[in-house]
Amino acid sequence: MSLDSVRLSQPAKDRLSWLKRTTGIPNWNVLCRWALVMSLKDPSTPLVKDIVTDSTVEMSWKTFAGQYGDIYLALLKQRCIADGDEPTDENVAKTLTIHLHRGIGHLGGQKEFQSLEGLVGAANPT
Amino acid sequence: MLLRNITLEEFGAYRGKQSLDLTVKKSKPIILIGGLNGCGKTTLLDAIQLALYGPRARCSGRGSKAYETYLRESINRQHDPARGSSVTLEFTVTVDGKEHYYRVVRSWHVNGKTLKEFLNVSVDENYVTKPGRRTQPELKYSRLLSEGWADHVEDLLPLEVASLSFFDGEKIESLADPERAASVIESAVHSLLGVSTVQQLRTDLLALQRRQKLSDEEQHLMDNIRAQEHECESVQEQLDVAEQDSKHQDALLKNARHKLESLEREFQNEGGGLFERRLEIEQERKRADERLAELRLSLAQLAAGPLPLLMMRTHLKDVRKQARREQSAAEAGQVLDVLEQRDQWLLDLLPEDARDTITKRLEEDRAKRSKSSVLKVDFVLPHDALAQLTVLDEVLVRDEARASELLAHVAAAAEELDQLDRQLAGVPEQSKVEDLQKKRAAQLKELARMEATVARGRERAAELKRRRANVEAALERAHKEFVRTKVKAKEVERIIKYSEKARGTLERFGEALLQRHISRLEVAVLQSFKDLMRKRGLVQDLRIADDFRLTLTDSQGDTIDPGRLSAGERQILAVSLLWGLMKVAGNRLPSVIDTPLGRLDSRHREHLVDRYFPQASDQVLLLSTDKEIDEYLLGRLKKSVAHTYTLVHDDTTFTTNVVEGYWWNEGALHVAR
Repeated sequence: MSLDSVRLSQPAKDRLSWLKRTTGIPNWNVLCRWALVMSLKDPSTPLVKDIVTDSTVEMSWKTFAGQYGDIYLALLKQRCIADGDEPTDENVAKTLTIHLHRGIGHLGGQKEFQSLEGLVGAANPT
Repeated sequence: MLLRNITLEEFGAYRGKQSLDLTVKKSKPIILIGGLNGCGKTTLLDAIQLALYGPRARCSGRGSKAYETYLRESINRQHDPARGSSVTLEFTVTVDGKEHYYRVVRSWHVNGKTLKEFLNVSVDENYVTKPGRRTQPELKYSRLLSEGWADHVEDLLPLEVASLSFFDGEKIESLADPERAASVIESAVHSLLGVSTVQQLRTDLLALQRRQKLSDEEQHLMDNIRAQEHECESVQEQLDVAEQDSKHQDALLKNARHKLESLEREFQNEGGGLFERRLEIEQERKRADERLAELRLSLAQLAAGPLPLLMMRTHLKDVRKQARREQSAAEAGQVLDVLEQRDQWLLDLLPEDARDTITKRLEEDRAKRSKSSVLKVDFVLPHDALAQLTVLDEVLVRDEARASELLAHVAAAAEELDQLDRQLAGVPEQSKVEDLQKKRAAQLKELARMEATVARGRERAAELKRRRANVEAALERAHKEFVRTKVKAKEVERIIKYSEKARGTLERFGEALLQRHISRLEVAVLQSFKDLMRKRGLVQDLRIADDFRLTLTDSQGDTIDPGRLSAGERQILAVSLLWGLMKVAGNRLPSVIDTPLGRLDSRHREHLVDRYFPQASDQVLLLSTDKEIDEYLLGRLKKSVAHTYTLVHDDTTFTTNVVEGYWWNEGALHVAR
C-alpha cells in the first residue's frame, strides 16, 4: 500500500455512494476529504482493524488531496506521530486508510452530516 | 249729407281763392247760384265731383281727356302751374246719430313735366251743431282716410248716386228714355235704396261659406293622425313585449348570478381559491427549488475546496510550527557548510599556536549548530510550506465567510421551499375541483351572455320608450290639430248651414225690399210727375217692371210711348224720376241742379220752383242763369233760399269772382254787368 493511490473498502464505497446522493456532492475525492478531516478532528485513537480495500473506487493521491496535498500530507504525518507511529510512508498510508474509513463511518453514522448544509455547517459552526 | 263749404283756388275760370258758404237751414234748403253762360256754373258742379271722386268724377269739362291733362287744364290760365290749384269741399255726414265734419282738399300742381296731386282729408268725428250758431269744427288730418278716400267716399255717397244727385238739367232729358231709365232706376234702387247692401251681404256670405271648406291639408292631417295612432299602438305593443322580455331576462340573470354565487361558495369551500394559485405556487416552488439547487451547487463547489481544512485549525497551527522548525533547521544546515569553509579560511590566516584552541572552539560551535539543524520530528515538508499555509489561511477566511453566507441563503431558500410546500399541501387536488372549476367557468360565460342580453333588452326598451315619447308627442300635436280641425269642421258646418239660411232670408228680404222700393218708387215718381206736369190727366199710372223698365199708362189704360212726349215733358219726367228716387231714399243727399229749367215753359217752371226745388232735398244747389230763375221766379223761391251767390265774369281778365247775392236782391247792386 502506498500513498500513490487511495482505495476504499466496499462498505465505505456503498456508504459514500449513499452520501453522494444525500449531500449532492458528486465527487468521491471531495467526500473522502471531508471524511478524512472528520476523523482527524477526533482526537481519540481509532481502533485498528483490518480494512480490506477491495472496492473499485481508487484514486491517486493527487486526485484525493488536490491543491493542498502537502498540507494534507503534513496533517497525516502529524496524526501519525500523535498516534505514536513514525511518519514513514507505510505508516502514513496506513493512517490515511484508517482515518478515511473511520471518517466515512462518522459521516454515515451521524444524521447532521448526511446533508451538504450539515457538512459545511460542521466546518463553519457559526 | 250736407255740403258746408266749397273753396276753389285757381280752378278753371276762378281766379284766386273763391269760397262759397253752402250751409242751409231746415226751412231754407236752397242755395241759389246765378251765373251767365260761361261764367263757371258747370265748373262749380265739376269741382264738387272732382273733390269727392278725383279721377272717377264725371266732370263735364273732362270729356275723354286723360285725368292728368284735365287737371293740368283746370289750373287757372293766369296762374303759375307750378303752384297749382286746389278744391276744398267741406261737408257733414251723420252716421249712427253722430255728425262727422269732413274737409276734403284736393290739390295739384305741375312739377316740370309731371303733375302732382295731393288729397288731404281732415275730419272732426264729433261735430256738434248748435241751433242758430255755427260751430267751428275741430278738424284733424286723417292719414288713413286720405289714403283710402276712394273707398270711404263710396260709403258716404256712391258715385252712382252722386251722378243722380248732381245733375245737369239740360242733359237729364235722356233719362226719360225707357232703356236709359231702366239702368238708372236699377242702379239707383240698388245703391241708393240699400238693395245692393243686401245683395252684397249675400255675396259675402257665399264667400264666407266657400272659405269654410276643409282644406286638403286638414284632410291630410286626419290621415296623419290615424297613421300615427296606429304607429303609437304598435310601438306600445313592442314596448310591452320588450319590457316583459326584459323582466324575464332579469329573472334569468338573477338565477344565473345566484347559481354562480353558490358555485363560487362551493369552490371556495373546496379550496378553489388556493387551487387557482397552485400553478403559481408551484412555479414559485420550482423557482425556489432551482435557486436552492443553485445554492447547493455553489456550496458543493465550495465544499470541494479547502473547506474541510477549517476543522483542522489547531492541527494546522502545529503544522505551521513544525514548518518553521524545519525551515530554521534547513537554514542552520546550510549555514554550517558556509561556516566550515570560513572557519577553515580563518584558521589558515591564524598563527599555528592559536589554531588548536580556536579550532576546538569553532568545532564546538559547529557541532552545536549542527545539532540544532537536526530535528526530532521531520515531516519533510517542502520548502514553501509556510507560504502555502499562509495562502491557505487567507483562502479559508474567505471561504468561511462565503460558506456562512451560502448557508444562510440555503436555509432561507429551504424555508421558502418549505412554506411553498405547505401552501401546496393546502391546495386541493386538481381532480377534486376541476369539475367545479369547469362549471364555474361555464357559469361565468353564461352570466356574461345573459348580462349582454339583458343590456340589449334594456337598450331596446329604452329606445322604444324614446320612440313612444316621440310618437306620442307627434300624436298630441296631431290631436290638437285634429281637434281644431274637428271644431272647425263643425263650425264650418254650422256656418254653412246658417249662412245658407241667412242667404235665403236675405234673398227674400232683398226681393221684398226691392218690391217695396219699386212700389214706393212708382208712387213717388207718379206723384212727382203729377205735381210737376201741366197736363195732369196725361199720365194715369206709372209702373216699374221687374227689369226696371218704366211704363206710363194713360187714362184709357194704354201705355204711353215716351217718344211721344215732348222734350220738355221728358225733362219733367226725368226730374220726377230723380225726385221720386230722392224721396224714397229719404232726402239724405244734397241735390245739385245745373241749369234746371232750360226748355221748360213758364207753367212748368213755376211748378218746379214752387213744388220741386224747396222739397227736392234737405239741400239744393241751384245753378241758374238769369233767364231761368228770373226776378219773378226768384220772388216765388225766395222764402226757401238760404244763400244767394252770383258768379261774376270779368271779360277783360277772363276770371270769375263769386259775389254774394243774386241779380234782383240786395247783392245785385254790386254786380257789375
